[in-house]
Amino acid sequence: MDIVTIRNLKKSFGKGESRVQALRGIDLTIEKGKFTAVIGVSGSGKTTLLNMIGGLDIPDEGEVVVDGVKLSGMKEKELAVFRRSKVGFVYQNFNLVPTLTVRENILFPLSLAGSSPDPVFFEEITELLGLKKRLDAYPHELSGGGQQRAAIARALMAKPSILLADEPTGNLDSKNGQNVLGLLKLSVETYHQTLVMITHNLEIAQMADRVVRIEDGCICGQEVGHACEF
Amino acid sequence: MLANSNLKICRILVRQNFRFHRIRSLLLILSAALVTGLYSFVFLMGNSMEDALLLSYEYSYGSVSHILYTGMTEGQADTVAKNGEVKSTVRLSTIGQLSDPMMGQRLVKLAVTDREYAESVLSVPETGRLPREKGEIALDEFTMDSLGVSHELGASVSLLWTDPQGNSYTSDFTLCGWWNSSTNFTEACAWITEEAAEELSPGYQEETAHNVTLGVMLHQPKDTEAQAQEILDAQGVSGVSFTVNTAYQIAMRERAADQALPYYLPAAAVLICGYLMMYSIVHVAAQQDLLHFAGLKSLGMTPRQICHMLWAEGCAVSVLGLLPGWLLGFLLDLGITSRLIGGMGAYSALAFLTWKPFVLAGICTAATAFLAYLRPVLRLCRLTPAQTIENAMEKMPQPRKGSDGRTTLWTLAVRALRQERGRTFLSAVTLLLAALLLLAQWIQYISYREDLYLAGLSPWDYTLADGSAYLSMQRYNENNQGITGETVQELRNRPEVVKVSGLKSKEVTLTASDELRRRIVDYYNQPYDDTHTLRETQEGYTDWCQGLDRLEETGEYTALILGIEGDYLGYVLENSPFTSGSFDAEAFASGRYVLAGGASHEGISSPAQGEKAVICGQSFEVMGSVMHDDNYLSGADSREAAFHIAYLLPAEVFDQLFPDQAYRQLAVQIHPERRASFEAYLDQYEQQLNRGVGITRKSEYRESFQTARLNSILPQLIVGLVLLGIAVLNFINLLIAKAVSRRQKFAVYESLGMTRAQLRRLLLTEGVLHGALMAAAVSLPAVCFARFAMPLILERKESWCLVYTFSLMPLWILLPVLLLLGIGVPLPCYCFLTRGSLTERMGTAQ
Amino acid sequence: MEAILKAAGLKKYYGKGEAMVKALDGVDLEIERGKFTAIIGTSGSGKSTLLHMLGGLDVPTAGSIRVGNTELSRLNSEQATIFRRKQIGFIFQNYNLVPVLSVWENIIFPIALDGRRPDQKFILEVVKLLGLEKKLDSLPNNLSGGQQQRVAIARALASKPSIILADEPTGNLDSKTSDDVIGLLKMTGQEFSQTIVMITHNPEIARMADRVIRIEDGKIVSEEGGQAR
Repeated sequence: MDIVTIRNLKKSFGKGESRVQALRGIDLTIEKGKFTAVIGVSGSGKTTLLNMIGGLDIPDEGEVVVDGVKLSGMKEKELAVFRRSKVGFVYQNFNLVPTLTVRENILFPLSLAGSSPDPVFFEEITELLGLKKRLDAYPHELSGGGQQRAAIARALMAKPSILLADEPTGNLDSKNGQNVLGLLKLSVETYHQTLVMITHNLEIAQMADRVVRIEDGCICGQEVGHACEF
Repeated sequence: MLANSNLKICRILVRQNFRFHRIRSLLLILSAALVTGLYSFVFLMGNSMEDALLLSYEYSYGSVSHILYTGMTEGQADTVAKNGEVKSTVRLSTIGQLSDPMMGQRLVKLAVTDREYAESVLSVPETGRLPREKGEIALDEFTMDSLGVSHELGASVSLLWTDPQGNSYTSDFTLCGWWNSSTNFTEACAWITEEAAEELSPGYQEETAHNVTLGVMLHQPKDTEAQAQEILDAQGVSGVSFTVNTAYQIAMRERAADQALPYYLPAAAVLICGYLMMYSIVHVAAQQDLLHFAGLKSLGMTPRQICHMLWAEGCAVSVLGLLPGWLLGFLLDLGITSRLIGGMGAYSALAFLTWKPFVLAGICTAATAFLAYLRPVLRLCRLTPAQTIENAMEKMPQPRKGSDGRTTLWTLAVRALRQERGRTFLSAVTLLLAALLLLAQWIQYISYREDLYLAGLSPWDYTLADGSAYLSMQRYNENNQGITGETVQELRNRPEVVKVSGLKSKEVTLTASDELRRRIVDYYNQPYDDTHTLRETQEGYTDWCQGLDRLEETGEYTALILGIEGDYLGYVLENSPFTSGSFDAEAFASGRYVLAGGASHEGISSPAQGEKAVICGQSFEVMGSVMHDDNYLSGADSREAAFHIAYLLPAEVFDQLFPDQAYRQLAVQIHPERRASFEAYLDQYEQQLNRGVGITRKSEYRESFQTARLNSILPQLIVGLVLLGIAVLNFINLLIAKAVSRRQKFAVYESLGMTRAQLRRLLLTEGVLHGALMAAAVSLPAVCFARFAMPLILERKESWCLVYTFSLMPLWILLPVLLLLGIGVPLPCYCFLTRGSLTERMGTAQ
Repeated sequence: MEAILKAAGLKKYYGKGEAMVKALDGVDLEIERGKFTAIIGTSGSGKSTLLHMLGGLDVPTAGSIRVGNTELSRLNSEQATIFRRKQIGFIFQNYNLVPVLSVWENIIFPIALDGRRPDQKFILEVVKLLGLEKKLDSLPNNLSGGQQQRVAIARALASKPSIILADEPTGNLDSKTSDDVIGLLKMTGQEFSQTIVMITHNPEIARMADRVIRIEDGKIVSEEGGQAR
């Protein structure tokens, strides 16, 4: 079953001479419960693609359907509701709210939606990600790895249809990166989440079910990841 | 290895920065202009005040000349006039001084007309002209009224005068002109012709006659006393006495500076508020530009160059703000100083205008800008580029435990309050300063009580005083017939008038009983403190002491018999506490009793209740003795009466004793609504008179009180208002900057699923919280200040018409404004914050 | 060959307690004059920090850095800055252009700061090579990312520094321009016997280097000669 369907997606930024075509017509489907890695050099358009799937940006042309919801033509308010209920984001720079504690950060999207958190699930996730002891700390008191684990917990807490990660280990040293990545993969598997991750790291890409390579705004290669093949 | 560091590039950067950050630069220039304006205003005002005070000293000296030499011969005068230090001279030949006892304390010279000199002492007739014929004379109004000369051209004037040798003469003249001048309170001239002078004092013109008064203007008056002597020595002139215009003495200049000091004080407030204003802009800019600076540093900009760049910006800002600032200061000065310096109209601001205050204001502005830039400069210079970037990162709040983890918009907003605490604090401090300054002025304003002032200085709507009793320097002339029974009758018949109360006075010499004499003398011989007796404490008052000596030696003393009625009696009873006996209206009216008032305010030095007093052969019983508050009396009495015992009688009894005596003064109460027609009547009444009458109006006192009250707070009020404006702008700036600088963060919130409505609510909540926080930060200290500090501050002013009154009016205006801003400002920010796509705002777009 | 850059026991820690990050954890390194060195490593491995330290942009927690005969820690901040702008050309990842100055002004900015006269002929040549000759009067914000990056490169070359430190200088360029730029860097490097130290993600560029240093978790984990050798 496909959870994401993208057809002829186009997006450009800027005007006139400095105009950049970030996406030049992308067709892509993503299967539910699979781990997809998106690779490509800087500026190839992979972040733009991710933003489109997450409803952070509106395409110039083409269609994005996520979990049966057609994103094109949605109003800002509907998009906001879509984001907080269907999508979990994990950013390279964590994007935790610095004025909120780790606990508050994890529950933030739920608080915004006004829905009550599932305490058992919360316990589970924080246990799994090793955050139990640091729930009342502020983000800056955590190491980078700790912050990213909090961000992952936040992304998972709302039980989204799809998890989008933009170089989640980009700001971490390799040891912490490995650790975070392992946990991310573990939680995705535990809760049968769909994960789309941008990465530079070929080793990480090899862990994916499927690798999508983007270059100059086009998908130029797709391969089934090692995890599946071997 | 150290080569030249190019500073020109810094200036180019400053210029480019100005072009790119137009709003910020404009704000900076505006604030610099405001600061310059306020400084210029304060300095101009202080300077004008100082000059006005000096001018008033000149006036009270009676001449605008720097030095007055008296008793010179013509030859000596010529020699002195040739001295290099002398700029110009005016001269006057006097033949003597008026010595009529009715002249009181004023000094009037009988002198040969010299128009130049007359102009230098502002004594040129306004009615009539200077004398041309032998028997003519021109006088000032005060002298005329004292001598009882009627205000008519051609009136006959009989003068008693004394020549320098001390011989007295009486001479007759006809009046050919008179003038009323503000410089003639203490000194004046009586002008006669040369022929008359020759006749009265033969040979006065001779070379050897020492009767020339020479008024000298110096090129550079410094220590005039020494200069006067130096000129005499230099010219070899001796045996000449001189006085110097005290206005040009260093001591007087210092006194003027002292008195003008309060008008300079707001400069301190300008410094503080100017610093805060500029610092908050510069600081914020530096904070925002930290990354920019870090970049410049890593490209090889040395700390010295960064310093230079920021200083150059500071200087540019100050210089650009200079002209508009000066203009603003000048306009403020024009509008306000003219108000403060009474009696000169709109000219006062222009008359005292010099370049110095402007230059000083410019320097002070530069210094303020320097201070404002100091901290950001030091900070930026210390850090390495990487540290600078680190510093640009946000400071996190203190950790906090215990929460169920649910976040409401409210918690988010409260947490946001904790960010940028430095700026919030700065903004609150500026607001608080403004609030305190305004509150202080307001409380002072309402604490000056008009009723107290008027009750003290002009208890009656109008006081009509005899022309010889208008000034306190003048001696009341008992022979004058200025205000008669007919006048009183006419006034009483006026429809506007409610009540007319008369007062008559007469000085008589009485002999005290031995008992009274001993009692008074003993009283003043008792010790006042370890070293002085009471008598010795009065030594400064020679006339008073002579009166006491006379009493001790001969038992004689001057009694001031006062016939009073109506309001005057009421005033005495209200303001003069009884030291013996008590008042019985019926008995007093019977004519057998008098009230006695002591020679000093203690009430011992007068006959006590039950004692007898014989006045003009008629015997009275003393009903009681009072501590006589004689402030209600117009004019002064004779020198002998400096030590007197007052006897207060009913008006009718006084009339029986002294049947032909006219009134010394009248207290008139009118229907307030008919004031205009009464004023018209008074004008016409004054004109039809051929003698002087001094009219004192309560409305004038009220107006001058209201003006003085407003003037007393005006400089600080203006500074306070400007400070408030700055503080409010600062607050708005804070709100906007706080919202706008978090554009990226809000985009993250949105990406996590915050709807636009929630974002709007969040901004609104934050705004209201900020408003409330500011309101709390301002009101608490302000209330304490108003409640506890203001009474002490007002007490130190030691003004008798100042009664501390609690009020928080300025606060009631300010607080709603703060809350309204909190609500109103975030909305336009919201529009900016939600412009552009989410990814653009998150900074992830490529 | 003499070493123009010499780092010994270089450490840099950020933060405190649990949040402490060891960006550099004991790096010893010598870089020879006139050589092209590539530094590779994952994001967060500490390679940018190393570059900043070598260029004197930041002060190490421990260790020493010598550039030529100059010990950087001996200089006060004023001297360090002047030394830096004379000796070292930086190409920053985020370009670090001065937004209020035109392209030309940006290129000669470090020279202007030093109060020297720019070598017009040479700079125009560089500008032409980078294809910026029509953009000299534009403001950086009106340029695309690639153009901005080229301005940053021109700026670093303009003052003919003895060392060029570059942080992913070709990150935003297409592969053709990227090759040109690296070629230019190598060429000027040889002409002015410049030493180039470059951070890169691109294995192909790394292969062009005389020497490749791999950094992992703040430590040098391997060194190899590039293919060029």
